[in-house]
Amino acid sequence: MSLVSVVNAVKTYGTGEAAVHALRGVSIEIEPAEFTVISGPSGSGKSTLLNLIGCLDVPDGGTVRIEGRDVNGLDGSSLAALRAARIGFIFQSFNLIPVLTALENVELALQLAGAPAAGRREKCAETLTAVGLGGLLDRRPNQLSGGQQQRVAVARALVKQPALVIADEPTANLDSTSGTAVLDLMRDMNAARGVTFLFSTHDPKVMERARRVVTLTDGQITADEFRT
Amino acid sequence: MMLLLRLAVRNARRNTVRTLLTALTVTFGTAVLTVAMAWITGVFGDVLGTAADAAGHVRVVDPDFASREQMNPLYEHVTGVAARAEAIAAMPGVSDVAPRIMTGVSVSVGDEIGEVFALAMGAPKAYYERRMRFDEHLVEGSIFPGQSPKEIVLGATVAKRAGVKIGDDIVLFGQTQDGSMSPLRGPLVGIVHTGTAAIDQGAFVLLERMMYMADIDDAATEILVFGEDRDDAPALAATVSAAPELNGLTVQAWTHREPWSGMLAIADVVRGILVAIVVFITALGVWNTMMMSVMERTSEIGVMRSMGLSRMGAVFLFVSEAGGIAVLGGLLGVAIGGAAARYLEVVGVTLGEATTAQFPSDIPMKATLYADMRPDIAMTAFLLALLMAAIGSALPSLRAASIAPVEAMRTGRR
Repeated sequence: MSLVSVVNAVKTYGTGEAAVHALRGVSIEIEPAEFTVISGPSGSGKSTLLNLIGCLDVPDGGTVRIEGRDVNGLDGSSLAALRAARIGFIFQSFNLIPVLTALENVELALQLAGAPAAGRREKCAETLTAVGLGGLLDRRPNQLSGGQQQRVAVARALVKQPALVIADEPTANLDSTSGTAVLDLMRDMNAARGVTFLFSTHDPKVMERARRVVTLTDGQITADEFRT
Repeated sequence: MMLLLRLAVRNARRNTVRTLLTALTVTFGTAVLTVAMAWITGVFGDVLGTAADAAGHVRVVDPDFASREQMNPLYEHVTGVAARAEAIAAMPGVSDVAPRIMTGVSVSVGDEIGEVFALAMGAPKAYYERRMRFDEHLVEGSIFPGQSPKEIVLGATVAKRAGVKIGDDIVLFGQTQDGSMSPLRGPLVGIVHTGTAAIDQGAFVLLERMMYMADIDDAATEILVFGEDRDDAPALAATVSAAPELNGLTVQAWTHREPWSGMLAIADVVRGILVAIVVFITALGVWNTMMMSVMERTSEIGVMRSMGLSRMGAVFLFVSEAGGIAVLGGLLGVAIGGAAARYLEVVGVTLGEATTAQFPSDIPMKATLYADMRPDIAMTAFLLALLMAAIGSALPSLRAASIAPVEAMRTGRR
C-alpha cells in the first residue's frame, strides 16, 4: 500500500471567468521512505498539491489517501488529528512560535499529537540533540540563527515520528552553508529513520539530492523522474 | 494543556504595554462596578431597610384604606386590633406586631393652632424603641418615660421649627375619623434626630393617644408585622394572610407596596444598566487587544492548526490569554474599588438635610448616604471582570478558530 495515493485530484479556486484551475487531474503515488521533490514554476500547483497531501485542504474532485485512508470524507477535527499524528511540516520561514524555547516548540508538536506528558521533554531533547541543537534547548527562536531555527523546525516535524514530512521550500531562506546542512540532516533522517520527505522547491541542491523529482506544469504532472 | 496555558501567558507578555493597558481597562471597569454596586446596595438598602423597619415587613389594613391611602382615611380602620395583634403575634415567624395610626397635625405650644406641620404617628412604645430605634437617635429628653400617658416625642426638624423645648406643653392639632378638629395636648419628653427627613419632621405619641385623637376605639389604620428578616416578608405575608382573624383584610409584604416595590425595581434596573454599560465598554477594550493579537498571530495559529491544534484549542489559547488579563485586572479592580467603597461605607457622602427634605415624605432618605461593601459584591465584580474577558475574547477567539490550517503554508512563505 502506498503511503500517499492521489488519484485524479482536481482543485479550482474561484468561479466563472475568474476560476483558477490549480490542479487538473493529478495522480501520484508516494511510497514510504521516499525523498521526493515536487518542482515546477510558480503557479504550477505545487503548493496546492502539498496542501492536499498534507491534509490542509481537500480536493474538489478525485481522491487523496494517506496510508489507505480517504481524507475527502473527513471533517476538520479528524483531519487535524490525522495531521497531528502522521504528518510533519517544515516551512520556508521556519514558523517557530517566538515565545517558546526550542524545546517547547518541539514539545508543542508532541502535545498536539496527544503524546503523554511523561517522558515528553526527554524525547524532545533527544530529537533536538539528534539535529545538532543539544546545547540550545532553552534558546528562543530570536536567539538562534536561521539554520538553527530550521533545525528546530525539522526536529518539531520529526519528533512525533510521522509517516510523512512535508517541507515547503525549506532552504529558501537559508544561506548556502546552512541550506546544505539542513538538507544533509533531512537526508540523514530519511536514511536512518526511514521518514518519508516530500519537498516543494526550486533549489537545484535539493533536486540534486532527491531520489524522485515530480514536475508540475499548469496543474498537471509533466514529468516524474526516479533517480538512483 | 499546561503548555498551551504557558503559551497564553507568554503571549500576554509579548506586548507588555498593550497587555497592561488592557488589564488597566478591566481594573477600571471592575473598580467602577465594585464602587457602584456597593453604593447602590448601600443607598437603596438603607432607604429600603429603614422603610421596611418603619412600615412593617408585612402590613394588615382595611382594603378600602389600601385603595385610598393617599387620602389617609382614618375611618377605614381595622377594628379589634388588640385581639388581632395578639393572634398575629402567636403565628410562626412573627417577632413583633405594632398597630399604628398616622395622620397630619399642626404643632404648637399653647392653645393656638400652630403653623408647623408634622406627620403624627401613634404606636406602641416597643415599636419606637425596636423598630424606629429612637434611643439611638435621641438628642434630648427620653423616649416615653411613662410619667404621663400623654407624652409626646418630636422629630428634631419639627421641634426646631416650632421652637419648643423639653417640658413644654405641646398641642398637636389633628382630626377625628369623621374630620372634626381634635387637639392632643401633652408634655414634650424627647427630641430625636435620625437624619431621615421623613422621621425628623414627625410627631410621635403612644397608640392610645392617637386612638383618642382619631376618636376610634381599639382600632388602628394599620397593623405592622415584623419577622426576623425583612427579605422574608413575602413568605411572612403568606403566613399572616392565612389567619382566620384577618379575613376580609388586606395583607401586604413591604416588597409589594409602593413606593418600595417600585424602588426595588428601579434599583435592579439601575444596577443592570450600569453593569451592562461597564461590561460592554470594558469588553470592547479586551476585544480590541485580542483582535489585534489574533491578526498578528495568524501565521502562528495556522502553523499550530497544521500541527493538529483543534478549533477549540485555538479558542482556549485566546480565551486563556484574555482570562489571565481579566484575573489580573479584576483582582486589582476589586482591591481598588473595594477600598473606595469601604471609604464610602465609613465616611459616606452628605447631601444635607435641606436636600433630603425634598424627597417624598414616605421615602426615608438620610442626609448622609453610605455604601455597603459586602463580600458578595467583590465576588460579583470579579466574576463580571471574567465576563468582560469572555465577551471581549469571544469574537477574536472564534476568528482565530476560523483560521484555516492552510494559512500555515501561505504565511510560511513570507
